[in-house]
Amino acid sequence: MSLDICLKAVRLAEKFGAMQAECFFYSEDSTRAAIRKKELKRFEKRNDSGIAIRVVLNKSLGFYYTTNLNNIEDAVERAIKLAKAAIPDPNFISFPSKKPYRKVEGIYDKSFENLNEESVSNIIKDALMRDFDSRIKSINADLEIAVYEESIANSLGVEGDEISTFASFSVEMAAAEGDKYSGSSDFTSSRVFKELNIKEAMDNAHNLTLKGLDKKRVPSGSYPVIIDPVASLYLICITLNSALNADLVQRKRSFLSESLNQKIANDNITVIDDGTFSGGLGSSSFDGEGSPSQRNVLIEKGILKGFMYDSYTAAKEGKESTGNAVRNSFRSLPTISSRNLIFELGNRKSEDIISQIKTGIYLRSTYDTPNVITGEFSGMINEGFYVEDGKIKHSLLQAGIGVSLRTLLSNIKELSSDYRWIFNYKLPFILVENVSIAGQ
Amino acid sequence: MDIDSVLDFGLKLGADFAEIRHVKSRDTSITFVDGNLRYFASNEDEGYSVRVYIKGAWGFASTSVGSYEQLKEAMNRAFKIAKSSSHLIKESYNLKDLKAYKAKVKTYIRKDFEEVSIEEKLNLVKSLDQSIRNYDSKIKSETVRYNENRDIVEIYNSIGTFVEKEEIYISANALAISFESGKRGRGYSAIGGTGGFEILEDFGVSELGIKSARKAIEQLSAKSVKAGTYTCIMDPILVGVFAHEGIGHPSEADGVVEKNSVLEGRLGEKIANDVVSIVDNPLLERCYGSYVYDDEGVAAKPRYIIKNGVLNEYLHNIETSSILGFSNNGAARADSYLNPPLVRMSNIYFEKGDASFDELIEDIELGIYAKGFEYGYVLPNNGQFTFKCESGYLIEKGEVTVPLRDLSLSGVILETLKNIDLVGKDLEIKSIGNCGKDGQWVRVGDGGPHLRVKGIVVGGVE
Repeated sequence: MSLDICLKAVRLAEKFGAMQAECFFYSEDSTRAAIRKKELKRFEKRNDSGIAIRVVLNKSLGFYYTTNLNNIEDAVERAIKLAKAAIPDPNFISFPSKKPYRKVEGIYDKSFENLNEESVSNIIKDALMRDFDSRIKSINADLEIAVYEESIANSLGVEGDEISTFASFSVEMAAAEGDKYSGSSDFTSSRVFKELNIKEAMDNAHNLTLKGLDKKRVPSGSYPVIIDPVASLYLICITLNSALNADLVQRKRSFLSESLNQKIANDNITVIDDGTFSGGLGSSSFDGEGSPSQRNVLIEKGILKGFMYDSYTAAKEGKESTGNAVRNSFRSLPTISSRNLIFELGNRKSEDIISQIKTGIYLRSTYDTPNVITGEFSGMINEGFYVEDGKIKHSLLQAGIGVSLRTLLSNIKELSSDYRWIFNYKLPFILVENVSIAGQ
Repeated sequence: MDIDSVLDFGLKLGADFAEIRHVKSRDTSITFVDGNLRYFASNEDEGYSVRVYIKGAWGFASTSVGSYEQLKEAMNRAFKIAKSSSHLIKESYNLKDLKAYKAKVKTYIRKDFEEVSIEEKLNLVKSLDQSIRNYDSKIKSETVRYNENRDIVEIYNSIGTFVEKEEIYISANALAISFESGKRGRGYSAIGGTGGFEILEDFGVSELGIKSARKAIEQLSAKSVKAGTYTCIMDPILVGVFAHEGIGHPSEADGVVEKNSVLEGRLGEKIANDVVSIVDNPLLERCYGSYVYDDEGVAAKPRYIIKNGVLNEYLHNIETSSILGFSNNGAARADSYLNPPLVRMSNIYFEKGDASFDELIEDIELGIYAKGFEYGYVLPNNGQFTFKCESGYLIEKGEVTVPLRDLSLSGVILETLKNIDLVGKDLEIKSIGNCGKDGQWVRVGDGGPHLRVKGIVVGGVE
């Protein structure tokens, strides 16, 4: 039915004089529960749906979105009015043309149909029904379940319609003992409800929070650092995701702009972006402008093999879209982003890698990210531990970390065989040598 | 629509309190990137949210479409949620100090942006883009954005509140990127506020591009600073960020109730040097975070968070003022009908002192003049902050000298508040901020005078 709305909008736009038109429908039916101080604090239900219309007149684009699905004609007219007023963009060639989609598996979980207020509050009750160490002073957690429907149609014959599910749970704990304090967090997310590992997230946050109470300064110096997948999100992934965005590359706003087919990482690094990965949080049959999702090799054995494109940036280089136009709602235009960024794994388990570190740092989290233009990085360690004789010891008190992303990628000594999905990033533990740590 | 009958329906179901918020937003955005129009959009967003309170538990439901039947259905869902969570609540509380407000307010504007032609707006953004590109051949990339927004919000509740408010915002920003022999520079400036098109004209929109370009070029010759501990002068933009991140967030009473704030249990305590007074004031004219009634329909008041070094007041909504027993100062804000109001800041700033800029720097042997803000954060459980600055200068023997790059400041908020020893007599509250909390983004303003702070840990790239 929602695809019919999109087709109707496209036909109307053509009738009103658009040379090309696209309509994207999005609906979200979600339930969110917030637990604060071990108690259910907020419980919300959201029903959000709307359409986004893009029309082209002589290379001029108009974009209009609305939540009012009862007056599509008015929305189309407004989009056309905007395109008429707009200034042509010579770089615009065309919306994507029709290509076959491959159905992506594992993104819809039927069990969501049976979830309601009652079952959600029972899940929360279960999560909080356990013994917490008396030093744990605060527990905050958030649970979200959502069902999405997305449809797209354009005047070149693109037609897509898909439903998907998403569940996530995150928890933050704080502990105090005398004048010592500590905080940690963990999370889990999945397309399939029963794969949500709430117990493991609770255990991790509980253990790390207590471990964090024992804080000491470490001497400044150069250390091997084992990067937890949670820390890789900020230290590597967010910036790498931008640096591989063809739009930033073309505009020289990426530190990798001039590095295609060059060695940018150690031989053991292979990174693939796969929008078709079964059950991936970034998976779907088609992207935000209706191009088929695909698998793209970005870094192979340390060599930069390619960037991520939407149809606009691809056309600038005479290429095809790589299916990386991502839309999170009808309220914004598609932007280029990775779908499921997958790091190739190594051979040994992380515990074996750690067991051979004489003195080093286990980095659990930082909130700083490298600069995408320069790749430079210096930041504070939010959660980190001192490693001595292969064992994780005390937590770090006020330590800084500095290494450029380019250097970091080149100095990766080993990747673990175990991994975690951090949202849409599949990440092993990563051992990097010679990282500058600012301590005492 | 017969809103009253939907509220009555909620009470009949068994709610202690029911509220309906109707939001209608209209906005237009223009973005030029490297000389081309890359984003041009105009949108209309409309929907309803319903909240229900039963014995310590809130239920919330929102819907982006709103017939009478759908609204009743949302009320029913909100009620069910509140009902099913109320049996999980251990400590209940009663809503106190509730007042019914009836008001109709609108942002003062001199020049309605809807009466300015779309061509004029497009030309404005295009000419700003060109002014950056033409400034210097070392400018290689630029982005200029224009945004206008009009929110019409109606708040109704079961104790008789009916507040209708029209909030009007405008902003423009310009980003310039420069390159020279492997070095890159970045310059950013933004203006805006609550009001009409006159805000841009009065705040010097025509210079916006050149300001960013000048900063980006200056960065090319800037040097990294040697990491260490310095006396710093913070400019009004950084001072605003410090007030917002360091004091504003911990003074939000929801965090105080949850015991997640370093300021919990410290009202009346001296937490800063005498020269420090910090105010969050939603009633300032033209600032980006201003409003007269909050999103629970409560009349907003200025919040005197720190008065001469003493912690004086938290920011409240209906819930936190009821739990903690304070009068509600109207700090409840929601980003849209999709989300419930949370305790939020408006325009937070340090009050001005009496030192001139020369007096601030004259005694500094070796220090840092830190300017602008790129990004940063404060760790909630210990108040440790890190702010990446946009630019800065070295201060040597009481003089501002060499431009600096890659500057970051860090410290612990409560220590830093005691190390602020001199406050400038200038006052600027012009920042255009978007503050995120629990996934909601609201417009905020912040600022202050120049401040002198001792013992700031300054990081640079080696």
